[in-house]
Order: sequence, then structure tokens, then C-alpha cells
Amino acid sequence: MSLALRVALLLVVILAVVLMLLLASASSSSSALDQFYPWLVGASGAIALAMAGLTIGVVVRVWRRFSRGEFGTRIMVRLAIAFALIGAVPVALVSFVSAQFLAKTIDSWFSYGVNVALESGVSLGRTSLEGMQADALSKARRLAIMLEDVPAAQMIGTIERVVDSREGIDVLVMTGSGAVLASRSAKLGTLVPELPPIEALNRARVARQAVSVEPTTFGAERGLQVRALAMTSRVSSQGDETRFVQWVEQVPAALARNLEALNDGVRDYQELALGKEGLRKLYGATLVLTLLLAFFGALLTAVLLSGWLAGPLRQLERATKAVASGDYRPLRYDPRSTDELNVLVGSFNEMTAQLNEARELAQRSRLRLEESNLFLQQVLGHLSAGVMVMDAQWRLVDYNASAERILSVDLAQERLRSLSLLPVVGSCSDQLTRGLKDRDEIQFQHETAQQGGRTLTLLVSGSRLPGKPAQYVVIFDDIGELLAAQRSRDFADMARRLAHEIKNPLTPIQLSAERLERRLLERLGPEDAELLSRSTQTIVDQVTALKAMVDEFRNYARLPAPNPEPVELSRLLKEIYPLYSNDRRIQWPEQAGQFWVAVDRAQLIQVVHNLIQNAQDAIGDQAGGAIRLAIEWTGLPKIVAGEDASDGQWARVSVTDNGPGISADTRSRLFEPYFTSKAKGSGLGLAIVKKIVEENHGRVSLMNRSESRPSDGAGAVACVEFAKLQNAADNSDVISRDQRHYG
Amino acid sequence: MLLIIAMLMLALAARANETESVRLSRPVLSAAPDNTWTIDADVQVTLNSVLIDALKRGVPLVFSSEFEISRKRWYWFNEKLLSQSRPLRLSFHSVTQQYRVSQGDQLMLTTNHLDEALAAALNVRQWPVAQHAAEVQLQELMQQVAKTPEAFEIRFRTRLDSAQLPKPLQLNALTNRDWNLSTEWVRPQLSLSGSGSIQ
Repeated sequence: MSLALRVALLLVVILAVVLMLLLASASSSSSALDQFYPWLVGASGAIALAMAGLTIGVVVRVWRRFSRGEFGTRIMVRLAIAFALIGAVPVALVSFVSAQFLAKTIDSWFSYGVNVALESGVSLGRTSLEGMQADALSKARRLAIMLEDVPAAQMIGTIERVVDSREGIDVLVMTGSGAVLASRSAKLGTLVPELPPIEALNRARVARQAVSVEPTTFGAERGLQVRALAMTSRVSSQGDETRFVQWVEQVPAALARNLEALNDGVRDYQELALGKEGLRKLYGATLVLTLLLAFFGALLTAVLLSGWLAGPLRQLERATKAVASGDYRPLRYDPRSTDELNVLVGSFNEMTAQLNEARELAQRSRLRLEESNLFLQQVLGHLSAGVMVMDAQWRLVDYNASAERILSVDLAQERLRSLSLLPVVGSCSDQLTRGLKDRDEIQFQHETAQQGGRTLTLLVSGSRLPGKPAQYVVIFDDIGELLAAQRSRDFADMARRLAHEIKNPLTPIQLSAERLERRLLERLGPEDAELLSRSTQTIVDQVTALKAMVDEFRNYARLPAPNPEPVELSRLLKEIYPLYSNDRRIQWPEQAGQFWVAVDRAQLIQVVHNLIQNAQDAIGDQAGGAIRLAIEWTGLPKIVAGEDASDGQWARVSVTDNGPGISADTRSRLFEPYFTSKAKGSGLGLAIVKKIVEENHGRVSLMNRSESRPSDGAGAVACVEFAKLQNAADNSDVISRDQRHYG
Repeated sequence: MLLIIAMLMLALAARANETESVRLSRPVLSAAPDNTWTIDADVQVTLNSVLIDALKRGVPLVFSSEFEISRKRWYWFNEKLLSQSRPLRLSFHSVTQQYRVSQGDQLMLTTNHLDEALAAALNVRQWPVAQHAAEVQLQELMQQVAKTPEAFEIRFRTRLDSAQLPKPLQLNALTNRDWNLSTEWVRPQLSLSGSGSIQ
């Protein structure tokens, strides 16, 4: 709540307390505050008004905050209501009882009996006074009649006789013109008798008599006296003579005192009776003020206290929200104070500090985890082996780039696909799942045919990851090339040794055969001679062939490292053309074009020769046999092409025949050395092609025509492909690049 | 309800000066040659039934004549220089059925007639507001007033002093107009010819 409101409330309450004390002391019978009494009452009313205004203000304020749902107002309102009830109910009760009591009490003061008694007292007093008056008047009249004929000098004797030595009686006889004829005074030392007041004389003149009661002051004593006047007039020789006789009699002091007391009592009573309403109002106002004060005090206390209570709560609530949104700053905490809320604040701060620490720890470990994950990803990505992680149902969860490369598939599309539905590895899923059912690790070699006639040889190993639910890791590596390389290295070794071992005896064999022929030819008959010479010729021929074959073996084994240079393929074919110009079955490419590639020229020529030779062998003497050579640009899938196929542009030389084609059982070993399906031949032709092409970073494939294009008839198509030379004009660059690569 | 009562109280207190039944006529402030200043004024009053009833029941009424001299100040309240009041007490003796007028302890009049009593209590006859034997300061003031009367605010009124009422009745006086009896403040006519120092 605002400071102004607090101050106003406090001021009003203090003022109210002061006013109430003043009012209470002013209400007592007599006090110095009497003259300010109306002001006190007015001020109390004003204070009550101010309090009411303030209360309404506070209530409206709290209610607004309450209906806005502000935090802490609920407890505030509850407290306020509780305090107000605690304060107001007893005060209201006491006030009610007091008001009832007051009303009854005030009424009981003015009972009918008292009223009647007082009135009786008054009439009694009046009657006694009237009796005295009548007595005095009759005395005065008698004296006046007795004195009518008495000369002035003898009057005093008559007077004394009438007075009869009673006390407290003054008698005065005077003429109508005011001359005193005789007087008697009860008071000693009073020489001049008290003359009747003019007003009394006037009345006596009119009515011939007059009587009145007068207050007297005799010293400090207040008293009453009865003054009776009687007038006589008679006609004498001197003319009309008017005389006044005044009879003044003191009311006995005790009676006078009693009468005064009665008068005072009646006055007080009547004052009270008149002020009955006023009294009631007065007490009522005091009570109401007390009630209001208690009520407002309670309200003020409630508001202040609940504000004081709810303040730290609100702070805590704000801090809680702040923590929820990630703000871990500590609250203001007073280490000296020991009150519970402060302790709570302390614990809260401790909690937020710990939370903050835990959060930072979690963050740090998360970062570390991410780092190690990243590291693992990088390691996996750079593994040449394909790695796939499968879940308990053998669905693909994760994989690395090498897996995609080996399988030639975009695995992102295959996530959560079952292993058996994946290409290449799908065919070994049974083996994997069965193997890993009761073992933790399994390793086997798996061969599978791939599109394009290639056979993939994979070394697959699977292992079960610990934990529930089970996860599996499948690692596979393309070991086909490895195997092939190993095989060809083994072969080269053997060929070299074999060549060496075989070549050495060949020359002696040939020479021996020729010598035998030379020596024996003349000695033999023509029939034998012809046999001899034919046999010798056969031996020489076969030895020569054997030599050639051994050379070929050696050549294969000692194939020199390629020396790549920019080669234009169509020009190269044109150079080869004359060698086969007598074979009309070969169809040469017609279109001119620039197919620049970087290869070893001599080796490429040998590749083309071998392919044409292979095709010629395939068609043999078959009628209608045809061979077609073609050069074209082609693109390979990027994944397969690898990093060399920068934009998928490859130059392809294809040799197509319409021979019998490739049988299923031979195709997987087509490029292996010493494998041949032909009656003659070393089985090295295609092996050499493959070796050269691969060493020149090209690709070779051999498949049935129907595989590449089902509409075609029988026959095989052999393709070699080389990456397009990026900048054909800048040959030196190519050379230097190639040297860097392969040198 | 409380609010209404409180507001009524305030409003009525503010209208305390409104009177119709009391009239002040011809107040005269005169200076005797011996520098004694006196006031004469006639006040006619018709008591309403409430006051008469109260009087008859014995409640004493105190009529106070008030006289003030103050210096006019444009920037602030006037500076009060002299303030005199003469409370006269009118009471009714219920046993003797007489009205009495007294000033302090001194009984001034006993009469059977209300009119006489009222006249005695209200009319101002030769009320000395400044005695010739007064202190020097007052003498100087009176001389200043005599010289330049327009520089001073001189005023006179007579009213029923409700503060002298018994306490329960004071509340009545606060809430009931019948209990408020006062003349306006009137500037008395100056008759200073007697004073040697003035024209």
C-alpha cells in the first residue's frame, strides 16, 4: 500500500485515540474542556467521517487487487477479514450491550416517581412560602389598621406589641410621599431601614396591598425574605393621608436553605431531563467512535501486517517465476534476522544456488557429450567401413557415410526400415539376426551381386550392444577390391616365378628339337623325315607360343605404372582403325567429338585392343556377327563415382558384340586372371584391361546387352569409363595433377 | 447513518450565526471625559418555546455581550487588540417562580416578569469596556482608536453562550438551531465627543 495511505491511516487512528480520550474526560461532570466540548464532538464526527472514507478506500483498493488476482492479496484479504472480525465483533458486542444498558439507565433516571416527588417538593415549598406570605400580609394589614389612629411617636410601641419579640422581622411605616414615620429593624446596627422597592409600592398603591418573596444576601448566607406591604388611607383635617406599612419577615434560614436545595435539585433534574437526548447522543457518539476506532485499528493492523507478511511471499513468488525462466539471482537476505520468512528466503537462495550449479553441471556434461558425439560421428564418418546401428527390431537407427557409399543408397530415406528390406545387406539379415540371437558377436563374409554386374564382397560383422532394449551394430567393409588385389598380387608373383622357371628350359628345348631335325633329317626316309620336320615344327611353334605366353604373364606381372597424359578418345580410335580395317564386321564410331581424358596412352591402346579381341573371340565365325564401338558422355551416380566424379561427366568407350553373351556362372570371375571361358587364350585379356583401367582411375564393366537394355538381343557389352578432363586445353595442369596423384 | 449525523452536526455548526429572533439596535460606543469608554445598546429578543421551556425548568441562560477591537491587516487575520465580554446569567427560581438576573455572584434583579428579566439581561447600559484607570497600553490604544477609528475594526454583539449550558444541552445546542441565539457583529456608532483628545 502506498505511503500516503499508511500515513493517513496512522494519523487518523492517532487522532481518533486522542479525541476519544479527550471526549471521555470531557464527558465527566466538570472539566476544563467544557467550553471546547462542541468542538470535540464535531472533530470526532469529522474523524469518524475520515475513517469511514479511508476504510472504503482501503477496502476498494484491496478488493481491486483481489479481483485482479494479484499474488498475496488472498492471504491479505483473509487476514484483514480475520483481524476485522477479531477487532470488531467484541467491540460491537460491548457497544450493543452498552447502548442497551445506557438507554435503560438513562430512562431509569427519569422515573415518574422522582418527577412527582420533585414537583411535590416544589409545591410544598411554594405552599409554605405562600403561607408565610399570607401571614406577613395579614400582619401588615392588622398593623396598618391598628396604626391608623396612632400618632407617629407612639407607633413603635404598637409595632413592638404586634411583633411580639419575634426575630427577623423588619417593620417600616411611611407616608405616601415617602417619609418614614416609624421603623423597627431586626438587624442590629442598621439605622436606616430598608425602603420598599418602587415597583412594590406601585403595586401596593393599586391593590392596597402587595406581597413578594425576595432573595437576600446577608453576609455569605443566602436567604429569603417575605415583603408585605399594606396601604391605608383616610381623610383627616390635613387632607388625604396615605400610609404604607411594610412587614419584612426573614424566612427561617433552614427553610431557605432547603428551598434553595430543592430549587437546585429541580434545576439539575430538569437539565438532565432536557439533556436526555443529548446524553444519549453523546454516549452513542462515544461508543460509535470507539467501535469505529477498533474496527479501523483492526483493519489497519490487518493491512499492514498482511502487507508485511505477503511482501516476502510475493518476493518469493517472483523469484520462483524467475527461476522457472532461468534467472538464478539470489533474493535479498538479511543474515541478522531470524524470522521464518527470512530463513525461508535463505533456504530458497540455497536451493537456487544448487539448482544453478546442477544446471551448469548438466550443461557442461551435455556439451562434453555433444563433443564426444561429434568426435564419434567424425570418426565414424571417416571410417572406410560402413557402420549401421539397428534397434531391437532390426530397424535402421543410425549409419555413417561409408555405409551409404558401400551400399550406394541414400540411407536417410531408409531410416527405421527393417534390415531385411535394405539393399545389399538385406540378403544377409537372416544370418545376422540368427547369429546374434545367442551370441554377442558374429563375423562372416557375404557376397552379393550389384547392379552393373559387379559383385560386392562384404566382410560383415555384427555385435549386440549391451543394455535394454537391445541395439545392434552392423559393420561391413567392401573387401572385394582387397581380395582382387590380393589375388592379382599372388598371381603376379606366381607368374613371375613360373615365367622364370618355364622360360629357362624352353630355349634348350627348341634348340634341341632343331638340332635333332638337322641331324636326323638326312638319315631318315622321306616319310619319317616329314614326320620329324612336322613334329619339330610343332615343338618350335609350341615353344614359341609358350614363350609368348610366358612373356605375357611377365608383362602382366610387371605392368608398368601408368603415365597419364591428355588423350582424345575419338582420335585414339582413329589411330587404331587401320589395324582392323580388314575386318568388316567392326563398326567404328562416326561422330566427331572431343573426349579428353587423362590416361596412359599406350595402356589405353592395349585396353582397346584387348576389348576388340575379346569381342572378336566372342562372335568367332558366327554368321552375321557384328561389333560396334562407341564413345559417349555418361554420368554415374555420385555415390558410386566418389570424389573423382566431380560433376558426373565420364567418357565411356563401349564395345558391343552380338555373340552368345556371358553365362551366369562365369560373370563373377570375368576379370580374374587365368579365368577364361574360351578354348584358347591365357585368361589374362580382361584381367589386364581391368588392371589398366583401374590403375588409370577408370571403371570397367562387362555385361549382357539385355541387362543394360532389355530390348536388345543376345551379346555382351564392355565399357570402360574415364573421368572427363576438366580443362582439355591446359594439358600441363592435367599432367602435373596426375603426377601428383600417381607419381 | 453515522455519516449523515456527523454531516448534519457540521452543517448546523456552520449555521450557528443565523438568527431571526434577536435584534440589536443602536449600539453606541461613547467616551466619557475621564477616558472611560462605555457601550449602550438595545437588544430585543423573542425567546422561542424551547428556550422558554428550558428556562422554566430551571436551566440558566447566559447572555454574553462581546466587544472587540482589532487592527485591520490585509495580509492576515486581523490583529485582536481588545476583547471584552460581559456574561449575564438569567435563571428561573422554580420555588419562588421568579426570574433572576445575575452577573457572577452578584444578583442584579429579581422579577416575576420575563420581559423585565430579559431586558435586564440583554440591554447594555453603560458597559465600561475600557476604564479610565486601565493600563497605559490600553489607554494608548483607545487614543489611537479615537484618532483614526477607520483603521480599526470595532464590533459588538450579544449572544446566548451555549458553552455555558449544561453539557448534555450543549449537544442539543450543536444540533438544534433553537439553541443558537446571536446578533450579528455590528460596528457601534462612535460617540467620542466627550473625550478631550478627539474632535
